[in-house]
Amino acid sequence: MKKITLISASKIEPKTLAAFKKAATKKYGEIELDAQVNEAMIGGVKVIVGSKAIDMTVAGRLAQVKEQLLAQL
Amino acid sequence: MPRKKTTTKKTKTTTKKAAARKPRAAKNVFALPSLLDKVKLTDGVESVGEVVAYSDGVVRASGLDDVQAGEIVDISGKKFGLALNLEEDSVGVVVMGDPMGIEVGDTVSRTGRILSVGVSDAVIGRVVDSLGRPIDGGAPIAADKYMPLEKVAPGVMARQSVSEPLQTGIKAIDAMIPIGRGQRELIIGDRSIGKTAIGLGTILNQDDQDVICVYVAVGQKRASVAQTMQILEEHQAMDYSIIVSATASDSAAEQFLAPYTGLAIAEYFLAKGRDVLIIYDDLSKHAQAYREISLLLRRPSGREAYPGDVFYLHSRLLERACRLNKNHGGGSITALPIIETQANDISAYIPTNVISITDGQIYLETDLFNAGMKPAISVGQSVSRVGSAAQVKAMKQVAGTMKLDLAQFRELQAFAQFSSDLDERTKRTLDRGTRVNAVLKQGWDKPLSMQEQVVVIFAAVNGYLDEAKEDVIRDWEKAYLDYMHTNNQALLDEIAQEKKLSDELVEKLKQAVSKFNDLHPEMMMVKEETEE
Repeated sequence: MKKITLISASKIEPKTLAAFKKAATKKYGEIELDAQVNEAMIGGVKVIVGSKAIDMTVAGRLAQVKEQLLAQL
Repeated sequence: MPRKKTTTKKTKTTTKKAAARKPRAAKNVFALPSLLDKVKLTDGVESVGEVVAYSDGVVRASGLDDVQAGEIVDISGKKFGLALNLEEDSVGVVVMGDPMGIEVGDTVSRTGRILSVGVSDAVIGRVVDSLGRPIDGGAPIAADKYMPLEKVAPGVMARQSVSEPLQTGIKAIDAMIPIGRGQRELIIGDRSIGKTAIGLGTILNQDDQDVICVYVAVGQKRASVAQTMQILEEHQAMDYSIIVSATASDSAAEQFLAPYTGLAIAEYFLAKGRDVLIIYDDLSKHAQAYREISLLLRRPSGREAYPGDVFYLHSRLLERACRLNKNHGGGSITALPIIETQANDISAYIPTNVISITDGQIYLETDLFNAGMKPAISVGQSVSRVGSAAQVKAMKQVAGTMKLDLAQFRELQAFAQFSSDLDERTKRTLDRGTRVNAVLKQGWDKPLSMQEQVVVIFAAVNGYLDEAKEDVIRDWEKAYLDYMHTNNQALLDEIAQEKKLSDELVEKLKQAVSKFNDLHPEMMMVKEETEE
């Protein structure tokens, strides 16, 4: 049973969540979905499947920009 | 796709460092739009984990399925850690730095970077910590190359045998236990006996030798490291030296890594064909820090509670000190590890380990130290396995018999109390031995160049000191060297140039010494029969 965590800046609509759950079940089998809301993310969504994460949040991208800018200085 | 290499250390700048960088930032603020163009955003899949437990500097993290052993991980952007233990369902991460602020549930992510440190020529003259970050309050060091901390030592075919001398400036060492470039020579002795002094004295002597010096301070007091830096600055030695510091209040992981960081910096210069000297002060504390980490990681312990691979800890460090052949740049790294013994016990676990790895040891004895012999080098028990292969011919010529003479002297020393009751021959050996011994005494911060050492030892072994009073040998030496520099600088230059003593040079030297002795009757003993 795989645990999938969804972190978003604002609440995701139940319809979208259901569609996501369906697609995920198709790929991973039985899953446990945990949808969290964290305003610090500003926008976008972060998906954590087991120990892999895809960060598509605005906060995440801003952090990348900060890192790379500082590296250039 | 893993995150590309970034100097993430910059995101943790303290206000002090930011102030040091202010002028540069102000200049670049107008260039921001063009800098932004260079930023590439990735949407790759990251490998993450979660902090499950934390105790005593070791974080247990779940997830992180594909983390590599020895990889740097980022704990929620707050701290770096080292993934040292890869277990079936968790990863043991040793936190670098103090662990305050880490919470259970924090995300731990991979950086894709196996332990490495950014080095460039700008690191010379700086004081850095185990991760290569400057701690002397100056500007950050822009990295030219990232050198890995763990590396396989150069193979047999890449090496060349040691034949170039490393002049320490200390008579006792350069004459009888000579060190070559690319050798590993252990400095071993009890506490407060002059081990660090020998290391620092050697660094001070490298000002005209084209050798870069790296001094690694492991587990020392911060005051000591500050003092060391001050001494090196006063003697302009920081122009060719680097200090890597992991003091007693730094975490065990940082103390464990410091020698490898110093070595990585040395290898940067080795790759450029330079000669490097690296001093590890000291490896006893290094082994203790490693023991601490291993016990916290629940690794099985062996003798004296050290982990089973404590030998490998030091052997892989010291094997990377080598001399490379021409095809690989011709550079060399000479290592002077320091080990502190307890009550002169060199047969304890760590000392015996390191003795078997190095190419010789300089053994410092407490008895000699207390008797006033400084440096307290025990010539009998010290050895250099490279020996005269790394000695200049001139030095070989004068110091050739010195070790034997001193050995004979030591045997007869027990009779020194009865010196009035001895036969003439024994008395002469004792007198000669005392004077040669006295010549070996030296101030730690007064290194002598090769030619100065040669002329002083020449005088001692050829009997020109036999008539001098025993207690004025130090003054004799000083006055003699002043005399040689003022009146016979050409002789000294010739020795430095030719690096050997031709017959006519020997004649000139004999005349110079005799003349000096005649000029200073106040230092000579009054003969019993006649009045001088």
